[in-house]
Amino acid sequence: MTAVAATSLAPSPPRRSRRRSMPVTRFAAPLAGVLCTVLIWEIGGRAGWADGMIVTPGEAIEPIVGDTRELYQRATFATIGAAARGLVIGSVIAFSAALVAAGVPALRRAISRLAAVANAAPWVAVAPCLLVVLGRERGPAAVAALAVFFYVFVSTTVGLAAAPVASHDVLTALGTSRRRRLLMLQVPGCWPSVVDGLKLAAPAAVAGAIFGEWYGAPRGLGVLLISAMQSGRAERLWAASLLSAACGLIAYAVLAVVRTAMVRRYGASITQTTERSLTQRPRTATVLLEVVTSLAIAASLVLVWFLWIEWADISPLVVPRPSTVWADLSATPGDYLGAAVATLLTAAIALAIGTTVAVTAAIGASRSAFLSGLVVPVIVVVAATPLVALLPLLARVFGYQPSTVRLLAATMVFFPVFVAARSGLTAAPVAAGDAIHALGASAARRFRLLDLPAAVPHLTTGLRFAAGTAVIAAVVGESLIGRQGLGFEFTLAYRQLELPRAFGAAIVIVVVSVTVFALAGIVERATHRRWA
Amino acid sequence: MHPRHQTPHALDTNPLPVPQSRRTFLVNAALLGGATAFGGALLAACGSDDEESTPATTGDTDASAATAAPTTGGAPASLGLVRTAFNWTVDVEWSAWYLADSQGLFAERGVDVEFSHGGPNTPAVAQVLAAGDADVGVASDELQLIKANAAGADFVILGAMYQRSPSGFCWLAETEIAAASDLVGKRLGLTTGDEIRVDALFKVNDIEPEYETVPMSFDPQPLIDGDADAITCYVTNQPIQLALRGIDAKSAPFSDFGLKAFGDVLFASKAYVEANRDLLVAYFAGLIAGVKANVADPMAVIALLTDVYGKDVEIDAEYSEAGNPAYIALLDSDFTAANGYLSIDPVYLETEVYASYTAAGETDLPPVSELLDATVIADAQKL
Repeated sequence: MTAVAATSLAPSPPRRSRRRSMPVTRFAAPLAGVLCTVLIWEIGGRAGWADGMIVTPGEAIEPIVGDTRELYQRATFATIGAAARGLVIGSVIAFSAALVAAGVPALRRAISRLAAVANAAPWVAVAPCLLVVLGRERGPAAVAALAVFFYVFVSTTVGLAAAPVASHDVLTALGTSRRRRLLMLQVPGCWPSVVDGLKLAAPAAVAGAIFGEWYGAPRGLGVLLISAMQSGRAERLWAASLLSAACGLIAYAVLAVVRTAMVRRYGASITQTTERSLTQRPRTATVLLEVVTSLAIAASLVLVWFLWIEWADISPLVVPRPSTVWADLSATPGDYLGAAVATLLTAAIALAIGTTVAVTAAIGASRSAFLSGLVVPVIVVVAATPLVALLPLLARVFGYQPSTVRLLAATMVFFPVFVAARSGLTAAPVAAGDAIHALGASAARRFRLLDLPAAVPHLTTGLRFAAGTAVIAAVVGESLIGRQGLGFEFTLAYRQLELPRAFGAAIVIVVVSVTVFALAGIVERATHRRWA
Repeated sequence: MHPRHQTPHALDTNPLPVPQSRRTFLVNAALLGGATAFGGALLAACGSDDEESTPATTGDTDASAATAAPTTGGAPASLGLVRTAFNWTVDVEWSAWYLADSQGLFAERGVDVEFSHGGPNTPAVAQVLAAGDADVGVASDELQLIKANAAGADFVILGAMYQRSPSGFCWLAETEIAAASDLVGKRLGLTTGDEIRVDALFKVNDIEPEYETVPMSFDPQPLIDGDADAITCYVTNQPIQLALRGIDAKSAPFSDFGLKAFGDVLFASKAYVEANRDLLVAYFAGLIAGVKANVADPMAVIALLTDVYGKDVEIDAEYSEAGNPAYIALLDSDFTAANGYLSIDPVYLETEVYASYTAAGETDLPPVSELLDATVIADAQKL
């Protein structure tokens, strides 16, 4: 597999579509699928499925274009503005952090761990702290920046490592310093990957901005969602949700166009880097170093926490002292453990459901253009809809039960796995495909022997993201409508102003999330060694 | 190990050959452009943060433009700014404040006001004040303040907008619920944290808590679907919304079931009260005037809600028209008849409200004299 990949080289990225058909016929089948979906939606709306919760497309659009359009326009601009600010700020911070990590090897591990912690921190716990520091008006932009950070950090790191080893060697032989190599070689080559990350980060920024608005912003799509929920008017809920999804989608589309242009200009591909960094078997010393680094980071975070409270004179009502949190953690570990187990169970079920459906959908979409048109737009819209918008819809349809929490988490898991599976199924090198075809294999055989194995590395990478997402999604679902688990513990304690318990729960959430992500990473590395 | 290649021109090559320098130039230009964009974005962010003013400031500008500036009577020099934090979004619940602001009832007493609203995710108002983001807070009940003080805050209750908390139960007309005993064994729709109060409700009636919890969020769907026999609500909100949708529902506040509490408790930190007593007295005088204005004309605030304070929140005018009288009905008690709006009866607080909290299992309730400072509002009545 490695040899084949090496021979197929990377001057041009692998062709995605192997069917060379006329543009019209290529679009006909997917378009039919889209129309089919809209038709089903219209029927459902007229029939009043889910107790009138499903409305027709016309009814859903009406608030946006009717009498209230000025209100929706103002709200959309407010949200987009906050999301854009968050995107820029988060991206710049993430890019800088990745640059530092690449340029200063001693800090690389620490920065990566910190980024992982930032990613694992649940928004429900972090947002109040951000608001304390930055003030309420900057809340939405701050949460958006937080949402964006990890995507851009990871993609920049990957991009900076994308330069071929040979080029590095050439420059080192010529006597260039590390910093110069960074600026001359790595940075120019990292842009496609960075834009890849931005592509995913932009919808996340929209979701983050909307979530941040739930903390008392004066206007925005999140504010409209709240009043729509309170009024019980389904069409308002749909209108705000559709607008939220649209904002995310437009951002995604714009950046996808930018990315295509980039690939044409720079032509870097990602598969090369995964080979280099992931095939090294971890040694005992490395593992020990990882553990020590993690502990050191944890200790320094606690120190920063303590110093911040003292220096800024933060009230214990807003952020508790580390000592009180530790006291609660050590006094009632059983509570935390039980909650953690409940959350992990929810996340595991969500991961299983989400993955199964996602892989099936990806296989189906890759085999049939009609199915693709039927399913992909819905998936994309659902993925672009922020969790806080999805929740009322799902809860109305399925009820406020633990199963809805699992469903909510599953929908969040779905998208990264679906995207990963899709790109994986088209990842098989063209040369190998031609070889199998020339040898006379049937389509099914080719699928089993080539496409599936080629997809596995992508799939495990997608699963790695999905695993972390599943935990966070489970926590968010629990905090909104759950009755058990870490998210529920957090919300309950927070509502009753029991800050030590709330922060204890938040810390356990971070630890669990980071651990899951790390374990998934081990699985990913093992699969890459075997399958890539 | 990778074989190192010898470059064709070896080491006497200019380390920056022309093609390479152009590339460096482009990279530097890109970085510079990025930095400029970043700087510009930061400036824009700071700039637009100033534009995102709270509704009150916008309302203030609109209101003072709309109403004749009360300067002819010689409005007193500004005593200061009071930032009020509400525990929910823009709603008819805060009518008195909006009316007082737009009719200049605060301004004519020398008080500038700013409002910040809450929502489902907002930090508790006690936290907002503790973080220094507001001066006067509106808490849904006293317990939040008692707990906050136990955690190290120094809050003091100054009064209450509503003499009975609007928190209560709502049930469909067909269901027979008249007293706490009727709730035994029922399926009750609760949001996170409600259980404590429901348990307290049972205990204060000397009944062992026995019911089935149906988790829910803010909309009354479980009641309509029949998943719950009764749901917790604000008696001024969900029952009216349901009635407007043609559903026959009944409701009663927790007070009727024996669990007494004030509604929309007004509080501030002791330190703030000591430092700004005159300002606070003037503020509450303005607020009391606002309450009276609302009682005199319940329809006046509706236009303010839809066009000014709530223009970004899609206020339901129909509900607001029906909700305002329901809130107004909670303003009065025998004590306010004698002592004026917003005032709290310390005896009632100690005997009835504290009893409810004790029944809820709360220990270490502070003495009423420490928790309540009724003098500020008593002085405000005279202004």
